[in-house]
Amino acid sequence: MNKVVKAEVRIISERCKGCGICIEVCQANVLERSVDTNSNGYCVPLVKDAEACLGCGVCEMLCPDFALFVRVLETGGTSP
Amino acid sequence: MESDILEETHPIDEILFTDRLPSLWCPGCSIGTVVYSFAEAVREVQMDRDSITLITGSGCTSCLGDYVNLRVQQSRDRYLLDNAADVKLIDPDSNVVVFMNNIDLLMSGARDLARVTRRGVSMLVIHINNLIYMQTRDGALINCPYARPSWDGKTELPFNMPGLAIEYGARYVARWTQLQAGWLKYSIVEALSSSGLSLVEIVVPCLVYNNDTGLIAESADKVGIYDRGTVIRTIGEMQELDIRNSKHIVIGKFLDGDAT
Repeated sequence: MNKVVKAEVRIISERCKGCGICIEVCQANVLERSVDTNSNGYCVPLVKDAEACLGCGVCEMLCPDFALFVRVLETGGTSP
Repeated sequence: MESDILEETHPIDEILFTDRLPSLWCPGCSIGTVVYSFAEAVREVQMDRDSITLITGSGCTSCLGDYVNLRVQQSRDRYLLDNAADVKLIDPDSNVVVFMNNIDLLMSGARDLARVTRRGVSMLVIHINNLIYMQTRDGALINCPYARPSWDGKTELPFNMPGLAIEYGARYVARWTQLQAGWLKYSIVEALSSSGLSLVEIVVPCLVYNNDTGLIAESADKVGIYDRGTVIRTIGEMQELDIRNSKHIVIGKFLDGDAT
């Protein structure tokens, strides 16, 4: 099965407040909770499986702190 | 097929004061999601940003004016729609967007909403409805999903806000929650091009209110209640839009006067 969309999640850690909405809404389980904190003391999510990102952009839409966005690297390919 | 790298910064950074972030809202507060949807809608319609005037009122909702790099006027509560009509009177070509909470729209602005709607002033009213009133638990709440007694024992019933706007004669009425941020963006795109008053209501949870029992610890869990408790429907019966009579919150686009 060829991959149709290749995308990656970029996190601006200094804006994050650790609400966890992006982790809950991700259908591909790209993100996970971590103990890494930013300068404000909030736990920033960690990119667990970058290859699994579907590029849907739901995490970008629902992030209330404008702290992460999805960058589409490659589109196209052949679906089975 | 390879494509170039599109952007290295957040897509709406050009509309934000990035040096003022992070914002002062609670972690997970959905006002930021509304700001994102509005900014994406402005980007999509390629609107001239000098022609946009944001009018904010009181409470947490008013703080979005501090982070948006647009022309912002913060009014006193009760005078938001008056000031919006004044801006529209001075410059008829401007695009006026009013961000309101329950106090601004229902406690003190319902009279102005009737007058502005009847006169056909073209503006977009974004009503962020967090179902509370000044973070009080036991008071008479004007938009609480349950009827509560007022100070003298009488039952206070909440407003059916989309039904009220349809009765007043609004041209575009929609209701979403924060989880439908994509559809909210398209509603704002349609509402910005509408000819009369447009009302987009966003039903969101307040993460502080009634959270002292500890039953809901995570903000993501509280947002998830709205995922399970909403029904998407486009209907003509205004009674079904009432939150207090239904087990589910009915969301969708209820009226599009330009399409019909």
